Amino acid sequence: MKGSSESVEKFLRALFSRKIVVFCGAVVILFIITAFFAPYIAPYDPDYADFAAFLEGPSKTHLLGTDSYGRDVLSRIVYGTRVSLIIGVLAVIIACVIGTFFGMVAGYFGGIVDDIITRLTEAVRAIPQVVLAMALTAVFGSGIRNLAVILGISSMAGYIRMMRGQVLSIKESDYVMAAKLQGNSNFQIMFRHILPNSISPIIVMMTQQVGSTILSEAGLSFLGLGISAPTASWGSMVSEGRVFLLQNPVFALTPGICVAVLVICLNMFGDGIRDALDPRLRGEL
Amino acid sequence: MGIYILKRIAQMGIILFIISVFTFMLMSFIPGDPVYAMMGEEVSEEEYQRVYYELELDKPVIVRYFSWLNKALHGDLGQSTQFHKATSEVLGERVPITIYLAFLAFLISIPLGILFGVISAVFRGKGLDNVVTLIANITACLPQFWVGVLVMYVFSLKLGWLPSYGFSFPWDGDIITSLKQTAMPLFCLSLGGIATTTRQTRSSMLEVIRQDYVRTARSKGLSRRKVIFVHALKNGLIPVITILGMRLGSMLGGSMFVESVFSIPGMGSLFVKAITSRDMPVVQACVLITALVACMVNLLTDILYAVVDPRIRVE
Repeated sequence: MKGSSESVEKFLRALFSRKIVVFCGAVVILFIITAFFAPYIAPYDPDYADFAAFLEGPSKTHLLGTDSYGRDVLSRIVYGTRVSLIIGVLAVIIACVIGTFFGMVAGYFGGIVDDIITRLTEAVRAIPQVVLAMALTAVFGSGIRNLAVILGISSMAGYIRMMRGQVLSIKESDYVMAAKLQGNSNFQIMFRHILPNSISPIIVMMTQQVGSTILSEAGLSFLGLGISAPTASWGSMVSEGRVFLLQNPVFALTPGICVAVLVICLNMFGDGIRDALDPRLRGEL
Repeated sequence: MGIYILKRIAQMGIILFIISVFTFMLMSFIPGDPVYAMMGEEVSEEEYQRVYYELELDKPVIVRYFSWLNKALHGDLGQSTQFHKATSEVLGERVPITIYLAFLAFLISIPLGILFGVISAVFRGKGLDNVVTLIANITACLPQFWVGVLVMYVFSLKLGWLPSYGFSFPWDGDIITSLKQTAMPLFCLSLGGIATTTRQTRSSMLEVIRQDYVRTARSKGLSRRKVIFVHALKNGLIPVITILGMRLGSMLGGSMFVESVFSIPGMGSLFVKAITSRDMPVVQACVLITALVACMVNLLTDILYAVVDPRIRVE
């Protein structure tokens, strides 16, 4: 099932057969390129404040106008892409690694270990994710690194639950039994047999989580609890710009559009990956 | 049934216990001296000693936890460091506003979401379904705070129809003013709920429409409308119940954004303010209250689920 080049090819063919998925994937790649080559794409230094030209509307010199310090809005949006993507990807990796591990341990060992992990997960899930993330920023403070960790921790519960279910459904299968009889240790079985066979739900979950993590980051930055002042981030730009809506509405509104477009495309692309990995859906399409 | 409910209540007790430990720990996780973290570095020696003993920092953690829990159960959540008032008093003014908004948004979004979901499922694959699904997919991804800023720009700054800030209950004072003030916040809060409920309803309806008994009902000669609204909807809505609980929780979460965009003095904006000013007792109280409400709603939806779907109870 896993790894064989034939199934990879089938997966890719299914993925690329839908125009909307291809389009969304292209948009996501465009954002990634923007983040990567931000210094070359941005027309100005994002932190350069031109006090002679603050809150200007869109013009030829400043395509999206300037903010309240006279900084170029377009350049700040371009650099904001970096913050969003870095935090989104890092947080998802953190959540995935820790969550998958604990979910696997809970499902594999069962008993009291399972009970403890499941109860803790349920408790975490009872607190809305934003509230949890906010409470953690109160303790650990913000900044890119802290935010990635905090958002990772607060979205971990989903992976634990998913992985636990996954393990329970394949724990009793013959190949796990065979591996056990061959004298493999528990951790060998978990990492060599169970994990590779659960890889597709993990990938699906990760692709779907990047978007919501980016949304959470923008939200926290909007509230002033995420990325702090001089660094450009989409959420904090909307927050700075909403005071000057009458002078330059583009300043507050475009970063939000960027968040929305990126998240929509990430989610649609994620759905495309999910459908392409699902053999039942693949047959239909 | 009784046993099932008792079991669920016991589970909720455990979850609430874990959450209380977690919120208590928030205080101890703060790096450095908790007194300085709360009061700032330039606190006087006298003040330091007062807070030090108030937080019972001279005692072991377990003792502190139980004394905190004991006080919390009696409604004493400590002193707010920014308002210099009892935390419970500060929250008392603000929680009703947030609950009012979240509840109204909930009431608006659920029926609409179910309606759109059913329409979408009934017209599966047709133009109407594609439009509904596309709009639902897009609105589910819009940042709530941005929608708030956008509608504020359009409806209060450009058109001047609605006030851009403020809040009042309809029962104290002018109903029209209250409606005008809450229109935009409610719109922002319900939007995400409508989108998720639509998607959930659509997929569970599609699942049900494929079932044998629906086909049987159709082949018996019942009309399409009757089959959909009598046979399919009843079963199709069962999975929707589970997300209802989560919806109310995320409405409470969403209230942070909406309240801070429209300057509504509710729990959400209080929470944000408490975090920026490191007012830990208020932070703790907000987390506790949100978790408590979310747990209660989850319990209610689970019970509702079991009432509607007998298969759950057996287990």
